[in-house]
Amino acid sequence: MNCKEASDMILKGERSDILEQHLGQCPECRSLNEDLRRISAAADTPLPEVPEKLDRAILACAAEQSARRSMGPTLLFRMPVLRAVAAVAVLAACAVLTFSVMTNGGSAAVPRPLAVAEMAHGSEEDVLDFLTNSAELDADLLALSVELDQTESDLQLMASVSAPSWYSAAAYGDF
Amino acid sequence: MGNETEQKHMKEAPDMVLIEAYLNGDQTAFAALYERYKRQLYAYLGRMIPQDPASVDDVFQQTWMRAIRRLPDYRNRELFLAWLMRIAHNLAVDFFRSGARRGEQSLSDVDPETDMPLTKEGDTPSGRLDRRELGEAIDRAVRELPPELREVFLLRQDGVSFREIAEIQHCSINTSLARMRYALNKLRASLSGWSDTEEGMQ
Repeated sequence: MNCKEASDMILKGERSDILEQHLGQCPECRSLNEDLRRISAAADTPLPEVPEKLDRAILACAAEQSARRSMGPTLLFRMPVLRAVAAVAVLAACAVLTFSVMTNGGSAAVPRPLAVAEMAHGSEEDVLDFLTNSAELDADLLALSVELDQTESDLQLMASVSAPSWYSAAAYGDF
Repeated sequence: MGNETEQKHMKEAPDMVLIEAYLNGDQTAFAALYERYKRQLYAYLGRMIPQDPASVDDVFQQTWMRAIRRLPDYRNRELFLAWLMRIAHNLAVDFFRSGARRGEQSLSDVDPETDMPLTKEGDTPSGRLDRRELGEAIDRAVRELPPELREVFLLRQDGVSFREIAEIQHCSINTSLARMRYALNKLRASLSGWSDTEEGMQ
């Protein structure tokens, strides 16, 4: 065993008979081994306490993320009131977008490229997080638009069943 | 009693078991995981960002928040602590980089390869040090190490393997070994005046 192999083993904290034999014969490696042991022991100071305010903030974040994961889109679909509110919100968003496209000649600001460009000053992880969140939002919006279609059909059915014959969806057209 | 048994079970459960329990909605599992590693991470950041406790708190909080968001992606291929340290490392680099942009330090004070601040060599302790002073002397000498060497030394103190250190620092295992060797030689040189007292280090 040469000194390079011995020092690698010492640094990795590995032990073997061959290494012990080398240490017996090599004062430099023996000194390295001993110094590493002493320095590690001296650097092994008691771990500091973490401030309680950090504990509270982090545990709260964990609880919030857990709640968000368990909610997902399925809860939204089960609650009729939320479905109706979501449908209105999607309609409003579509109206704003349409208006924006009409007044800006088709150059409605799509914030994502700008936001990504700005985020490029941040770290690679920040950009990936942003794109992941954007993709998730797209999926949520798609799911909401499907639900909106279903809600519209439900409302038309309800109107045709409960209203007088002249009060029909055909007379009033689409929503 | 049942609660005590459950707490004991949580304390001893492997990291992956706690992570899966948390992802299935068990908040106490995350609390146990957090309790297990919070002080090590805090100590590591305190030494990586010395004499700036507010920034240490910020990076510490950001590290855990990012880890919480990414827990669904954690795979048991590496030590959870190494995975956590990698997140902390990236955030610490961002912190140093943004400090340079804000003018808190000159860009020429930042190592272009590692984006971490270049440290200036201070006075090194010399002379005979008793046991009481040795810990402080080591701490001072570690703070004076260049950041990439300091990080290797601190991660080794936490039991992170050289393979995992290499992944964290985006370098080869040989490079991380070389950095540790270099760090150790610098520490030995800084402490070349000390010797065992009669009480000794033994």
